[in-house]
Amino acid sequence: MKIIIAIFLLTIVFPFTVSAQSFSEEVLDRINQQVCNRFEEDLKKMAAIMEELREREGITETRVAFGGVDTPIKSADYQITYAAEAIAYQRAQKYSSASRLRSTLGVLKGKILQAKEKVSIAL
Amino acid sequence: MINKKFLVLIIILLVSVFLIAKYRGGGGGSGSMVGPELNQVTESPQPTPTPTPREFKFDSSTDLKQELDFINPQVLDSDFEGLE
Repeated sequence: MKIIIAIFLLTIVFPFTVSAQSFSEEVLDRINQQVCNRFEEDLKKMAAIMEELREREGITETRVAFGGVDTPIKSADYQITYAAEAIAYQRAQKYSSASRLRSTLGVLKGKILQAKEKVSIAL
Repeated sequence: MINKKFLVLIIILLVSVFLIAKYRGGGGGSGSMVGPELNQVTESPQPTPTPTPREFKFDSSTDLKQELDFINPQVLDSDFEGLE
């Protein structure tokens, strides 16, 4: 009889825990999108800087996305493209843990800072 | 005695199935046992609208190094305030 009561209590509590977890995942997704939007804006600014730099240098060739990074400008372009792809990938991820989300956003921030460093070298 | 226990078990299972179906199927309304915050979870999640990022355009007079210095990607503690 005690087991039956225990099972009953468990089935009452279980829907609440499921609902709470879903709510948390939605909030984490919102946070993820919010931070990605901010990072994307930073990246667009870097891309605009590179665009202006190429114009000043008189460079008209197509941007590099898959290698051939033998000049600082090409290297910076490649890093910006790489960071943009990383942001797109990050947007598509779903998280159930805030610490995990924070950790992956930290990694993404590192990629953007790397792109910034390459742009700085190109300038 | 055995039949009584079996009956109780069946009732418990039916109640639990009902509760699970209710909360997964978008529970709410006056008969709900939880607050409105949790009720919202059962609705279909809407896609997060992505605001169009600003477009940037610089000209020959722009100090590109200074513009680059303004770029400072951060993950802020205030971003995670919504979890509290």
